[in-house]
Amino acid sequence: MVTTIETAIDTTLDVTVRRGFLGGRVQPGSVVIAAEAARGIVLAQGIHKTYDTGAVKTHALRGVDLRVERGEMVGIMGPSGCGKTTLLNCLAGLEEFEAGAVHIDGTPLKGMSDDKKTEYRAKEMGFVFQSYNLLPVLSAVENVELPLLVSGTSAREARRLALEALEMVAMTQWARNKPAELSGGQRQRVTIARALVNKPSIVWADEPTGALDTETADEVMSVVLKLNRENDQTFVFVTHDPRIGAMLDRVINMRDGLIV
Amino acid sequence: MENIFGIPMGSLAVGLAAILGILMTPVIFTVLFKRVMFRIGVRNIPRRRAQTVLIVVGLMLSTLSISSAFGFGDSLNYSVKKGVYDQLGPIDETVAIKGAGGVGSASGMTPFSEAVYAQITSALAGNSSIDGYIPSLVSQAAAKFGVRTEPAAQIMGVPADQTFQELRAQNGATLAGLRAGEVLINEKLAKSLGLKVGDSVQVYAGPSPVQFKVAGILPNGGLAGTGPQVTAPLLVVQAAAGLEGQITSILVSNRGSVEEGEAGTDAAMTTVKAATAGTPLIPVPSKQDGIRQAESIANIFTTIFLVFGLFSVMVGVLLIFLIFMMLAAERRAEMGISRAIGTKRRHLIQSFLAEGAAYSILSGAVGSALGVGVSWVLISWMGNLLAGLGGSSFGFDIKPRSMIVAYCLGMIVTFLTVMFSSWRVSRLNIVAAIRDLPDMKVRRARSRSTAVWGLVLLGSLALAVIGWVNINALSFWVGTSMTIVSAGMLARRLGVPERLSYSASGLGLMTACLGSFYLDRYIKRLAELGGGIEMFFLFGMILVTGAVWVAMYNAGSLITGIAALFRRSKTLAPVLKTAFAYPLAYPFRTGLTTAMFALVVFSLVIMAVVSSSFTKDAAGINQWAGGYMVQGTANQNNAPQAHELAAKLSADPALRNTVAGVGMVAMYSAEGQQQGVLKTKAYGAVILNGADSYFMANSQYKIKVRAEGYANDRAIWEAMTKDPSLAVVTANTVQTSEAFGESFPFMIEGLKSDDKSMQPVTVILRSPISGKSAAYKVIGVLDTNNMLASAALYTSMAGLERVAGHAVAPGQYYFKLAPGVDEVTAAQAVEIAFATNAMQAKSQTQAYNELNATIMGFMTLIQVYMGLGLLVGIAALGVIAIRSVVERRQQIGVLRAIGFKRRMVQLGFMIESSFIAMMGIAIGAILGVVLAYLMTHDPAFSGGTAEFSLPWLRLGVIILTTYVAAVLMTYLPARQAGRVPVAEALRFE
Repeated sequence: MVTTIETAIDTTLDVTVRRGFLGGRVQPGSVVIAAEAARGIVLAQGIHKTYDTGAVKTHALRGVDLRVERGEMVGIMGPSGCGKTTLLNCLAGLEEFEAGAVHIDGTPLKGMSDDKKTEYRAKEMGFVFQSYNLLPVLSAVENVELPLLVSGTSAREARRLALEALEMVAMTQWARNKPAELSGGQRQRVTIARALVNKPSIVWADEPTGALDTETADEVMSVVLKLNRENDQTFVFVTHDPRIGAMLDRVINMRDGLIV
Repeated sequence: MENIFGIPMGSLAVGLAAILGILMTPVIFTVLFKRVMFRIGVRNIPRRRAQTVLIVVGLMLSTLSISSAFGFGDSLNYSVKKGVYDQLGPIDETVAIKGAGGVGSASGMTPFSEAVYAQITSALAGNSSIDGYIPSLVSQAAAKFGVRTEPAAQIMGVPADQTFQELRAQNGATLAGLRAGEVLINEKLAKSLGLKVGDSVQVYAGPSPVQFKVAGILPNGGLAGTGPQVTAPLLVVQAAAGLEGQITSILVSNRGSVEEGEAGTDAAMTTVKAATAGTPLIPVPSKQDGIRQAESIANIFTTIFLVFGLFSVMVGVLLIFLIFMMLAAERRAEMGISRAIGTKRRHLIQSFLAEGAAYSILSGAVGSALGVGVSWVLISWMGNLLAGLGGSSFGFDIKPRSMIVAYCLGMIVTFLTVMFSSWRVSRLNIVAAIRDLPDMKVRRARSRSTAVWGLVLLGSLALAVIGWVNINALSFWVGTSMTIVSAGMLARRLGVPERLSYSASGLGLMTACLGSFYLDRYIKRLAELGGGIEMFFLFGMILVTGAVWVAMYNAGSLITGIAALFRRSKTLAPVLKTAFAYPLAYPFRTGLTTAMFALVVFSLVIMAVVSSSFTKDAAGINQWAGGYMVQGTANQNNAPQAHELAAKLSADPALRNTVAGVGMVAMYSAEGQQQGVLKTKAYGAVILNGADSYFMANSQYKIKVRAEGYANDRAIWEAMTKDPSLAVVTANTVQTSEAFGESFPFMIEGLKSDDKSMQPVTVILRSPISGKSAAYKVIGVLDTNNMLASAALYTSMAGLERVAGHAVAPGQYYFKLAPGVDEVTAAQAVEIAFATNAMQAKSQTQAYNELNATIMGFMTLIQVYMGLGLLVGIAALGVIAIRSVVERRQQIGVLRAIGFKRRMVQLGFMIESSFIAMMGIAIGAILGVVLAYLMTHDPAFSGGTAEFSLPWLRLGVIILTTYVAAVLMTYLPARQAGRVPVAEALRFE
């Protein structure tokens, strides 16, 4: 056990110091968290997030602790306004939070510059949104290859990998079509292909089937489950749908900014 | 201004106000009876203030452009009229020897016997429309005080007891109170020579100089003159000029004040014409002519500014259209839901009209007010330009009537576009709008549009044919271009691929327009369809539409190539992919903005290149001046003769090795009539110039059209030296195809300045004084582009005597300089040496440069004016950028989520705007240069006098300014895009 922890500490120090995510400085206490993080891919501790619109202050997250293991499919469920999407955004580094710490694959997000965080997202994370959020001016294959181009993959290689990703979600036939020419289910498949094309260690999915009918939602979920099995990729879902929750490894319930 | 395009301004104001009232009826109806739709429409205005400001700025440009053109015209009219009143004072009509130029020209200075005055006064006496009449003698006269000389002065003599105008000096001295040897001078001469009351001034008006004592200084204007002038009793001036018993004109004043007198011109002219019948004299309604000329000048300039301003107006129209398309796109889902819950199409139109009307009223008011400011800047600029050429001072005056016309016109243009846009955006598919899907084409609608475009094609074709048959350029070109456009539209609806049909149409438009410059040499009718200044705008529109169409459907291939160049860049590869995709995905929006930039840059570039192409180098100036690089005029009453010239040139050390030779030309006011034409016209006044043998032998003036049988220009000059019955005419004496070609009393028919050769033309010239006549054979037409510009004939001195009946003293001197001599120094030496002859000499390089500076200044003025359109283009880009950030907020969030850094998002927006701006700039610049090239090589336009030349610096400034302004305008929205909070953007609906 001691050896494992030491290895984890070494690995984390390597990541944090060599890659410069902490600017070369090891922060007090970070070694323990880093060691913990080495066992799970997502480790969140005491996250607090408040929205302040001037007139109203909303305490969206009130000290959330969460741990997700590698290859796990976790669902976050709860009533509207309980902080599910806010938690997902904080975990994914899309949103800042006031207090707490988030480590993804041992890397602490807090304190990372916007550019570093963006680079990290491009390489290590994939996203699936309820409203697909494909760029309407690009074709399916162009949408899928965009994260690869951002990560510095050559245009030719990006195109090849994008087509492969589309093949995984059975969308090769519609590769040249623009999002407006695709059905909701097809668009969501393209979004999944875009999320997975970079082979990220974790995929964040915010209500991925929210805009789909039951049959299409089942189809999309079967694709996701297959990919999870084949690639051992971690999926974190935000969903309202108990049927989707039932398909996942674990479901975390939230209420009023806390995990219950 | 009283008229524009032949329509009285008063009627225009009433008519336009009525049209505007009718157009605003639906808005008034909405305000009164559909308050909900009105509120829905106008509530959008304060919601996004920055966008509202940009919209108002864009929309006001039409009104600003029109109101500034009218303001400029009014001020010009006022200034020229004021100049006429100042110059003429109480004089309404001038009676002088018949001549081509009227008062102030040679005809107004040709002396005649005072006895003629006595002869006609009996007929004028007691006439109720006439206030008074006096004889006058005006002579060119150099004035000298100490070491200072004023060679451009004149001396005027009127009866000492005249009651026309009170000539009272500041010290109380009057004409009637002058003692022997005393004169009055005006402020201009006093200032020029530094004269004070009591000083002695030497005046060279006749064979011998006369010394006068200055008794008083008169304010400038009227009889006291606006140029440097000595005023004295008639007898004194007659003696000084050596013209005893002679006068040069009879001045007539109508009843009423200086301004009111013009109203009685017709009645007075009838009386004076009757009184002068049978004499060599002719009355000229000087004041009325001056006022009409003021109106005409104001009209020409207003037309120029209005036509060039059309580019700004058109760009403004495109902006309004673009804004409404974008507003509709923004509110598409909202409109779809409104329609779904029971809102009718007309309600959507009403709410858009309400919004559009509010923008229009606001922007019309701001535009009119700013237009007044712009016209003030324009008139001040124009005043400064002409001040260098001795023009009168310019005042600012703008008529409320013009403002009403400008406001209504601007509002109508804006509002019509708003109406069309509102109608178009209301045609949405409810389901597609709610679900944010592209509108689906309905088969029935498609077949209907096929029929509509078929009809448009036929109508356009008919319009083109009518234009061709009736030689109406506007009808022909509008018809032709619409035929090409509708053919493309029809082809598309008949199943031809979009890219092919629209690219072919675009290419067709460009080919038709540019090809006409080549084909008009072979197809006579095409050359006849040259049209007026408005064709410049129409051609610009046709070319830009064609080019933008081609670009929009083919730019994809080009940018794929550009993107491929940066495919290895981690930052640029993804950024370029999105930055290029957006403009191409919205071809309508991108096309409109590109067209705006292209139109503005096109108009600026063509103006710059054409100006530069007409500018001459030193060799060109030498040819323009005929090789006589110093030219002078002298008082004809005291002109130096050949022997006198030779003696002074050899004796004066400053001239001995400077002047290689002098050519002399004498001028005579004659009347001419062309022979051998189907309908013989009445005799028309024309100047007959007699040149001496030196002038003929050394002239380098180019002869544009030579009679058959003469191998070169030299052969023409030599033939004229030998044969006094031969003559050449200036280009102004023959017909011109230019839009602003002037018409003179004597014009030769059947001959054009751009003809290749000619058959000799016989003309009869006669003296209006003696009635003596002689026939001349015209064997050439001088080039348009030289100093001998006015309407005149040139023959030998002996040829001139055939009509004059006696030797005529030369008045013009053409100095050929020795190599390497400085022209300005030589001109000064000539003026000093011939001061007693009142010689005014000028370096021709200096004269050309001054003239050219004024022309270039005016061109720059128009360019700056047209540059107003640039503001619209930039505002459009700003509107698009701001709208894009709002529209794409969620997409920006996605880009940031998947790895786009802030600066990449920002860079994407900047590249996107740059792409649109650069495409517009490239299209405008290329088309401008190509059209300018064709224009300068087209004899019908340039008269063969232009040398195509690219003003690189000016072009660079135009292109760079446009680009930098466009990029700066996008910077803030782009920065805003980069700073969009990711999670918030992803939640944005």
